[in-house]
Amino acid sequence: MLVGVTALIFFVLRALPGNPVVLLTQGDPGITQAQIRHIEDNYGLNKPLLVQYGTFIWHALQGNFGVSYLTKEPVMSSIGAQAGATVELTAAAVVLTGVIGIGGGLLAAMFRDTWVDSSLRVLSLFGSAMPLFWTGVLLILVFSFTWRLFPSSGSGTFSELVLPAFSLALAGSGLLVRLVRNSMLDVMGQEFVTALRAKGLPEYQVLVRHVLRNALVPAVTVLGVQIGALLAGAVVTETVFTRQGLGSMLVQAVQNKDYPTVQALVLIIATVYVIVNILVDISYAYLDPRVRTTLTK
Amino acid sequence: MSLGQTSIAYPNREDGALASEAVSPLGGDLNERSSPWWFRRRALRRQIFHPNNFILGLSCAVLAIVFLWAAVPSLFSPDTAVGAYPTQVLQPPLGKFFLGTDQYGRSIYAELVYGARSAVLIGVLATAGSAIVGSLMGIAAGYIGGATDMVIMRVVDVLLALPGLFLALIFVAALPPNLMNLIIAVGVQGIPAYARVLRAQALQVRGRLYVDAATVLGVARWKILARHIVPNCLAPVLVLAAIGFGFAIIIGATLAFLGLGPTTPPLNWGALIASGQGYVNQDWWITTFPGLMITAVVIAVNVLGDWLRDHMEPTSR
Repeated sequence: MLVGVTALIFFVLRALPGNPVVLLTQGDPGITQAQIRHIEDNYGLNKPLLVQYGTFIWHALQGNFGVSYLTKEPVMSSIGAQAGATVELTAAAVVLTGVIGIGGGLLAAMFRDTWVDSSLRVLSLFGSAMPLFWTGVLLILVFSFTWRLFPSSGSGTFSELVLPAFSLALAGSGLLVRLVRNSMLDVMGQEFVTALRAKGLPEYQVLVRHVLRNALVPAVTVLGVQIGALLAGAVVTETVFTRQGLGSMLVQAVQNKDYPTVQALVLIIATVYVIVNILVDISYAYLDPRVRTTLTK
Repeated sequence: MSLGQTSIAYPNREDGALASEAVSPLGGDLNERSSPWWFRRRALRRQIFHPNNFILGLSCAVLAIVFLWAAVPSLFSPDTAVGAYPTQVLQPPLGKFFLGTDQYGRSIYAELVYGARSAVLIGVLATAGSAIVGSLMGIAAGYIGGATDMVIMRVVDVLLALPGLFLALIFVAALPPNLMNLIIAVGVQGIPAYARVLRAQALQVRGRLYVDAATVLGVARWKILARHIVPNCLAPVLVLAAIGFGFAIIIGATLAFLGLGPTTPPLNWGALIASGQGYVNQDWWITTFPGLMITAVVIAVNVLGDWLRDHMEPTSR
């Protein structure tokens, strides 16, 4: 699958119009044919497309994604410098999404058909319908300029992480709240819950230890899928909050048609995405022992 | 009501002529007509003001307005195009300009009206494009099966290995920035959803008895495909398309916000938010109203999509 992704990225970027040589020379009109040939030689651009693709794969496997057209630095080293900020942001957002989503779903299920439930439903509808970049701008408006609680831009400190992570989490948790609520209600309708209550277990233990745990399996799937969305969201959020990171790096690379950087970033993100999905599959076995038994059979 | 009556009538049909005499096909409708007019009107009123129907109606109204804005913006705005009034820069809402003006002195309301066209074009064309391509891929994979299925589904897997926004980003990176290419980029990321759902649907329909019957009768494969498979696969496409429409508008606006959209007009709500971001400190209205517009359209489309799903796929209720 990842090989397919490399092919997709490579051929879409190369086969479509747009000449890297023009970019490398910054469109200098006084350039001679010999100079163009020299540049093409240097970057391997004059070889057949398939050979270029082969070299790209071979180098990528060794962790070498070539040199950025723009900064003329190795792509991998710039990515290494920027990755930390994105990992930090995504991790914070995943945790927040989980907390808001599961907590909200738990509340909505506990107080079903009351004002708590319906206001959570409206909030989650807005959360998933609002464009992420707009959520970010609104948060800046309210928390940075009106109340002056958190800075509107920058990256590094904790307080600079709060608003971006929160805006990402708001977008992701809307779906999760509804999902957790519905699967909690499904589980609460089952007979073992009645049995637990009948034997006198306190209600919060019934809900948290038994119902919630059973309701978490679908939630974890969605949270896994959401990690992909959060990664995509990081592109937007990092731009809105002018943070450092892979997302804003990708936007700049796309704007400047810096293909080696785009290729490397997209490939890395796809790899992370695929690995996360595999991890989600594995986590079922932990959450639901029934899956474990079917696996060992 | 009429549905309920005819379904009760079905067992009778087996004893032949009796059934057609006993229950007229219009039986249900006749009963409804016999209730007094004021009763029907009260029922109608109750139906219209039922919260669910009210929200549905509101959603249809929002969408109707946005489509009208997109079709004939000059009817809704005093200006024939978004004109700038350099003396009226950054006016707050509810003054001379209903929603205020931006940093160039353009009326926000006029910008919303003239920005509708790009949103609707992206929504409609990208959704139509991904629905057609994705559905054809899915139906081909499901109906033909074998190697075709394998190849198509591997392609779909590759598209699914990237979050939608990234898929769109690759195409935006490769193509020159104009509206058509933005639509293509947004359309490509929608393809895999249709392909997967329709493959499952086509597999299911292929196994139905009437398809076997047609095959036995010697009907040509393409005819079976066109007459039986495709029409029976269409319901989920409509539901997916309703949801996809909202998603397409969000992705289109996001790309425009990131500065990767068309560099020339038409105006785009996402680009408006980007241009107003620097003024959010004092002049909140520049960014707030376009965002509100996108949110309203997306919610409206989702409400409509839920309604469609309830009516077209009764099993998933």
